[in-house]
Amino acid sequence: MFQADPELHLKPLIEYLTQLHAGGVAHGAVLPGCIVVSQTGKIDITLLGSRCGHPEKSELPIYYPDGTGADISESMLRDRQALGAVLHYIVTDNPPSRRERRPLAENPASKSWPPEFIQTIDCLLDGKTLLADLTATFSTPKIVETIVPESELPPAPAVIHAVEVPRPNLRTIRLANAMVGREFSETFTLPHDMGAFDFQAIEALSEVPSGLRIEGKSLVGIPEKAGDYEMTIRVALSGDFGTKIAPEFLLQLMVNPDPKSLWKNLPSNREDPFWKPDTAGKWLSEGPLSVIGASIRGRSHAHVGSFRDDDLEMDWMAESAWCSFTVADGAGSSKFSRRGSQIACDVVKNHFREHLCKPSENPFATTVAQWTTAQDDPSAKSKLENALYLLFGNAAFAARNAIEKEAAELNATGRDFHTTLITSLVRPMENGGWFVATFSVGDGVAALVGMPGGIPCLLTHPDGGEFAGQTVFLTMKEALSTAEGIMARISYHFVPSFHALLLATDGITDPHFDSDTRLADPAAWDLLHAEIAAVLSKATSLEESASMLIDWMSFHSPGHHDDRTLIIAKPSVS
Amino acid sequence: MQPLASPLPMRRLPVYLLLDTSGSMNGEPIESVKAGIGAMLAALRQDPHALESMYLSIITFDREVKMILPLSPLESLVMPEIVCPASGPTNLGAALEMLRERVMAEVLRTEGDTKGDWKPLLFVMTDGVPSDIQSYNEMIPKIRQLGFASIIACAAGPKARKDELTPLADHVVTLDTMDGSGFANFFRWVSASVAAGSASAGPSSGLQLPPPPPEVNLVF
Repeated sequence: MFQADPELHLKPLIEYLTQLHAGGVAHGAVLPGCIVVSQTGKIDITLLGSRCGHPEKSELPIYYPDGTGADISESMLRDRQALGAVLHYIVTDNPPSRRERRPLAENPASKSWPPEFIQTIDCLLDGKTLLADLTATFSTPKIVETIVPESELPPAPAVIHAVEVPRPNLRTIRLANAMVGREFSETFTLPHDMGAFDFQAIEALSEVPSGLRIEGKSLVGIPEKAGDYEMTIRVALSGDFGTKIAPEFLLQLMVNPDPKSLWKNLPSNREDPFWKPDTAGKWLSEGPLSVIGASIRGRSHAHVGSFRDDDLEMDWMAESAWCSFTVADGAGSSKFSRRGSQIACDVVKNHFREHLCKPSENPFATTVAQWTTAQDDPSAKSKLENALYLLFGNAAFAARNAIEKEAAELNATGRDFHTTLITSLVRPMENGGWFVATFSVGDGVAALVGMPGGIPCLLTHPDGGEFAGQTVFLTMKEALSTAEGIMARISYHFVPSFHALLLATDGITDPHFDSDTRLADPAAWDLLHAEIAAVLSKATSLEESASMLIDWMSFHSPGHHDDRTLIIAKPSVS
Repeated sequence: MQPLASPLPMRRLPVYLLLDTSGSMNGEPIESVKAGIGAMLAALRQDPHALESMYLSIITFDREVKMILPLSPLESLVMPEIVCPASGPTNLGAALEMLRERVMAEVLRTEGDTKGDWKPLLFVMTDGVPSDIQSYNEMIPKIRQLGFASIIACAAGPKARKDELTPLADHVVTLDTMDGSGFANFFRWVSASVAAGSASAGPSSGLQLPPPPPEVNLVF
């Protein structure tokens, strides 16, 4: 506690009030709850300014709590009385009342005002110099009590009525929002107009939200329950709460629920004609590649009990040594897209099987072999591109036609079956190395990990728009409208070696690649592949790997809750 | 269910709310609007999509246009004070001008190193006709070009003219009364639209709106 000094404490306040009154300006109520005194004893007069140019501080009481103080003369009278209260507050350790809210009229003698207070106020208000001994009188509360016997005190002045009414509305301070389960730590700061005052500690006068506690000047902890909380706190401005100057505030805190806890997992309707399981795992244990694939329903679909719209297929054609892999992502807003993606995967797989399974009937493998040995030969290149164009183009058209046929049977349109299509053909070449060709419509990708330099890791060009969620679907006219457009969707490479070929829908790539630039960065794919490889390292079979892949794919990434589908093909260790 | 080691910045769903604070909104109407927005935010905080991806900005317009809430994540936003002067015109045109500047500056579009936001949503609420009609008419095509997934206008009360709003908005709803329940219903509908918007990861076709509540009349 600083040494009480009425002149030091009250004079600036009185001068300020005098100035306001002279200007005919009304001001905020002079109440102890609105007066803040610094450790050096200076009073923060700006708190009273709510009616003279500080409209934003509307939470300050602008009238006395009993409704008076509206006009200048009344407010001058009140000020005189209130200053007495303030002075009492500063000088004694037990101000008459406010916290107890005891009706003072019940026992006026015990709480009445010593005449010295009134005298002091009069002196100050009239601009007279305080008598030295009067100041000394107030230096300790003890003297006040001994000098003025209770029985001789004059009747309590009107101010006690002002102080017995409920406290003025507390100033509210809103803290930054918290979240259930997340570490919270917010240091309490005084409103900016009280910024000059240092303080030591805060104390809660009402219940603190569960999980949180007050430590020094901060509210810390991990909130346990969502809600919009209010609590009253007291601020010790000068060290401890035994002092007189401990203004109270209403602290407001919004605790958001943890979004993870809000996701529902509702079953999809098994009676639906196009129902498919919420998760799918596939693997190929035979052939030159060991392949696993998984597809899971996204949280956004699980939340409303809708279906997995993604799909996948894989195939090993032993007769011709070709492998085919396909992933497809049905549009969330199309009502039968789960079926669209399924048709696309099935039809493309069957199309390749039909055209590539019997090498005697199809010269494609020979065309590829000729190109791999003479990649600079324009005619070999042109022959290969023609063959790829026919193979992929017809596969895509076959898928689209099948979708449109089924749509027509249901009186629906291709739009109701919107799906993307990412497909890849891979073949080990007789003289070593691999031929890898891809075709894609939409925002999924195919990428290679761990191949020698010079070959781009990203094999496809995802179709995207300027905003998220904009893409091209196989079922849109523009997807296959020109030969150049179709050719641009095809890529092919001869790869001496690689660690893995990945086909992924955007449910996998969006949370892992923050831009198209990153999507083309081999290092980013290496990271993703290493993360998955670490997860799958303990698997003892491909079946187990596929199941572990499903588990990994349910990773949580805020804002990314789409279906996720991924195929990983690695050269088998022979 | 493991969180990713370093979660990426998520795609945001920017939502813009343009609120009429002209003189005629003073009193019960603006109080009802405030209560409606409060209830809307509380409802959206219970929606995991919205809580993770929605960003809200509020612009008020009367004689002056004020951005009282810059684009802020739902999770951390604190409702600002909405002040409604006792009288004043309805400068919707000027509000659209500020909106356009804000959208151009803060809504992310896909480029090499940047992933685009979801298409933004715009809700305009007015109880009158634009006072700056020339500026309003000039702004309409510029706003339509900004790529909003949906522009929804609410004509509240007897003085609002829906015909003025149809060139701007994809959907115009009318509220016959300007009391608490009308606005509450409207904002409940707004929150349902926002939730639908944040859940939709579909093609660039327009937003599928949920059916409006009984007291909100959808104008086609």
